[in-house]
Amino acid sequence: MTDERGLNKWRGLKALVHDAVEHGSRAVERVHLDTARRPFTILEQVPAVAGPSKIVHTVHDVLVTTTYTAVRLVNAAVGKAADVAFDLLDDDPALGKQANPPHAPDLDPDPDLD
Amino acid sequence: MSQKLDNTLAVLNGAIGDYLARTNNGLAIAATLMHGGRALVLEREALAAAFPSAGSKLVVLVHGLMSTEDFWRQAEGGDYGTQFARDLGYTPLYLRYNTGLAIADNGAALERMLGELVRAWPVEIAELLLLGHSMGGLVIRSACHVGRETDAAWLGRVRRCIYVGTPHRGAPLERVGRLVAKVLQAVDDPYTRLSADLANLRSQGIQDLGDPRHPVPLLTSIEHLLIAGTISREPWLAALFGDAMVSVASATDRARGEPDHPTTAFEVFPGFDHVALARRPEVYECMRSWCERSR
Repeated sequence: MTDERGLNKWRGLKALVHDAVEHGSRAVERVHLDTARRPFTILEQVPAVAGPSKIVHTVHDVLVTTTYTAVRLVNAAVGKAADVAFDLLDDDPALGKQANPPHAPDLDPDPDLD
Repeated sequence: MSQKLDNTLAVLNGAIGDYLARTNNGLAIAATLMHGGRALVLEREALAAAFPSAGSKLVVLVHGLMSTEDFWRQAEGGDYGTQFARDLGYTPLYLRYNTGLAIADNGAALERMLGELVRAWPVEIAELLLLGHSMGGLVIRSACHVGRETDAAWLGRVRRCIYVGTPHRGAPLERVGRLVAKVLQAVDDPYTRLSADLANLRSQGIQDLGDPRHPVPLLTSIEHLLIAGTISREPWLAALFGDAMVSVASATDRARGEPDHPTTAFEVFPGFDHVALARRPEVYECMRSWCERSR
């Protein structure tokens, strides 16, 4: 196996997980906000609770958005850290070999598959 | 581990391979011709070293969606390629490719590789037999079409093509998938819309399988054998489900009452499902005798 090809697959796996978290969190956030909007819309039609409902709705949406943004920020930070680690492995052949010890899962055991 | 990884990557590429390729992801499978489990370098010296006694007849096997060349392997060992080698002297080569890409893109890639193969093969190629299972058959059709458009030299070596369980007129499952995605999208609910978004993540390769007619015709300069299977011997079940993935009408590229194409033969195997078609000795015997008859 060439380490570079193995690393490409690890990089690919990292990118895939990163994209899944990024797009997945956006999709779930959208569902979360859309689902909450329905009861809030009804409450906001009732004069007695319309004012407080609007405040609670806004606070809710800010909290939800902040939470999912935090998830994406952590995801981006972990992604950057992984990129740095991969770059280090790329630059250091000795480290590159250590990245695939004999008993570690080998993402590209065949030299000719790329 | 290697085989498991290859198979996992094949499934992943079939599902979202177009996305992987578009984002230059290292998990995307690059189209390669394989032999003996190794990728071939399509240069004369490399091929001469890999095939010291290279023959002049080649058979290229093209697998279907979410598979690798391993899909052809039979329980008792061997596959159609090794059987063609044993009985008719063909050298078997296997295409491995990203089945999530558009069929036309894979066809163009196969066309390029066949051109390089014919130029670099150590001896003059007398015959190139193309054999595709499921989506692989459509990739072959596409490659032949591009070859004809570009007047490719390799196409002159192709006298016969065999399509096993190939959805020439689309796969009903993908059409159901399209319908379900459309219905989910139409419902004004965040959860169903999320489900529709997930359904629409499926690759371009999968979506191409739903097309009711392949956009390019079978070339009349080549003899074609179209093989279909049916999961049941009961005629009404066979007509309804075909080989469980592809209907008989689609696999034989003909509707009831349509005239036979002069250079097209077809065979239906009752009781053979979509996977069995790629691995059964009866299917091989049919292909072998057809090749001998049409020599």
